[in-house]
Amino acid sequence: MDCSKIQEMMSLYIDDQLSKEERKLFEEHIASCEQCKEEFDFLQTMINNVNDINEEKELPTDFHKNLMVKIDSTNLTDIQAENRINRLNRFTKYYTAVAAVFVIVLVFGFIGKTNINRITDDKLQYDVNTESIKEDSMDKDIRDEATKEAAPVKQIATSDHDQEAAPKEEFGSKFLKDDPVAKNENKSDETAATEDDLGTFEFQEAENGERISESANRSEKSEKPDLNKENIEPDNGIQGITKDDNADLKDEKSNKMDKNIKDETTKETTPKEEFGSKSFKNDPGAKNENESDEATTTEDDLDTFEFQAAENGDGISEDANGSEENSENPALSKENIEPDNGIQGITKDDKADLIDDEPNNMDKDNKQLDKGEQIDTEFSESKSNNSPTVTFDSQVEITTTESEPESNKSNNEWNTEWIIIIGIIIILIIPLIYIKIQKNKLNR
Amino acid sequence: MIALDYITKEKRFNERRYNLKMLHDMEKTIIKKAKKGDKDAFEKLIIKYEKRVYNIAYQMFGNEHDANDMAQEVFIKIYKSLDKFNFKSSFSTWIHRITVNTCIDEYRKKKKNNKVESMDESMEQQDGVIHKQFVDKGLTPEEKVIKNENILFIRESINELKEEHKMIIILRDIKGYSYDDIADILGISIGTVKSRISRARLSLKKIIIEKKEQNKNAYV
Repeated sequence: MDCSKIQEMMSLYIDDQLSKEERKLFEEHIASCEQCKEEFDFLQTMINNVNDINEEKELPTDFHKNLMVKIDSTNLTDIQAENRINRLNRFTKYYTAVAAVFVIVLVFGFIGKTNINRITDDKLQYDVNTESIKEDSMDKDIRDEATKEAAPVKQIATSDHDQEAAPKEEFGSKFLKDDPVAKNENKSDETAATEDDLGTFEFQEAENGERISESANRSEKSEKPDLNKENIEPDNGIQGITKDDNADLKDEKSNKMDKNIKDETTKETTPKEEFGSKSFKNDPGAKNENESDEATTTEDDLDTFEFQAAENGDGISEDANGSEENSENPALSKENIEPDNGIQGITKDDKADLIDDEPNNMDKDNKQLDKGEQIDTEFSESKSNNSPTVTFDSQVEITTTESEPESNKSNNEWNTEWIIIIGIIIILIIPLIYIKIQKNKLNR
Repeated sequence: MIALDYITKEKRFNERRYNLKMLHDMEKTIIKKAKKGDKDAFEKLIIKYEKRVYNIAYQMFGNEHDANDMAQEVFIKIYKSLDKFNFKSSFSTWIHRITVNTCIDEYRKKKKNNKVESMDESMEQQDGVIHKQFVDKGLTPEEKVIKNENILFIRESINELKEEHKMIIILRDIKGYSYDDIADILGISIGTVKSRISRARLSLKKIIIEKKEQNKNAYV
């Protein structure tokens, strides 16, 4: 056994606190280990000596007397009162600490809550605004459907709706493209329905600037604006590439800016832009042969669809017009149309009928100018229209009417909650006052 | 015979238990009376503990004067806090606990102020200087001298222990309390009592060895 363990056991062995087995082990070790035996002997004698110290001292003769005198002089009731006061003091200490923490949490919690309410109210208001805008656009679309008026033109009027207008113009281009296919309007609609993969595609058909806003408007709302945005940007970039071989970056940027700067609400319009771009793609096949050829070769990918992105609304319309003339199978659905155009482009390349295309381009340019003028006029007309401004006013009205009662409500809530807090604090203070009264009584 | 022995043993055990219970019940009623403010009851209650408390205080402080003051203070404390006694432990244990705690507290205070007197110091009193001596009866004068020297030496050594160790040595080795009683008085487990006693003894041994070596050097 280890000597250090034996040292620990020595004290217990002397006091007979070891078990039988431990005792045996201890005795065996002591018998064998001289050093341990020496130490054990020393400890034993030391303890014996200490035991000898114990001498029973007799009490001093006046001990009891003095003690009883002292005890007589101490009044138990006083002591009990003292004890009570001590207890009360201890209680008040804990109570005040807990109450203080409670009040602090209450007050700060309330302040925090009111702040959060304010923030959320602001957010709600913001949401209400945006929703109202959406609703307005919905209403307009419905109206447009009903009236078959040039819905985009009207929407352009308000700053918010400008963006919507641009895509619609692009749509217009598409429609223009489709217009030649006027016979197969129904067909094109059906194909649009099949394009649900991209989600955005529903056609607005219009003849010569008149646009029938159909389900496309609905699709605008259903789609996520972010995705649309993302789509928009690449479209423009690609557009720049396809359209201009020299690729004026400034133009691209300007296009991007035009489209991106627009408010969140305008994101709805992005699908339309895509449409426009598609129409473009189709158009450029006719317009810029070389460029369109490049693009059309890769058209199998959806990316390439987007590639031939829309130019500015005017350009689109022009292109659309151009495509009307050039497109061999305008009646086909978009999906069909695009590849067809691609093929068309390829075939054109193969044939290399540059001569034929050039005049087409020329025609396009001429038509572009015409259309641009038309659109400009439409814009001006739409601006003169009161309908968008009316909708805007209605939004404002909504927000104002909603915000005022809310503020009143919140004020009322605020006041009542503060009253409750003050009441709680008073209730918490009452026991402290009671304790003080009790203490004063005890002190007397 | 064995059966008879067993029966008598059990009888005695039962009697003892009954007596203890009776004593305990009597003590309980007296305590209840004392709690209500009956000073006679309190006097009855403490009279049998006075000597024990005084002796523990004496061992702790090493002089009659401090032991007297300490014992008085302990009993006044007991009187004041009697209504806090809840019969969970025995009254004896409770008194011992108060004694030990007040002694240790006071000892600590005095140690800080260097007011602890040693057993063999000279005391200045009104009627002159007195040199403290420990009287032991039944020994030859030579033996007395040797024993007194030995006792003094050990007392000095014990005084150098820290207060917890000193108290446990007093309770166990001087006053001879059982491990269980010490555990109850100090409010610690038996395991802790065992280890604390062991450590206290070993440190006392160390002090004694050191002192002996110092003395050797002094004499040489």
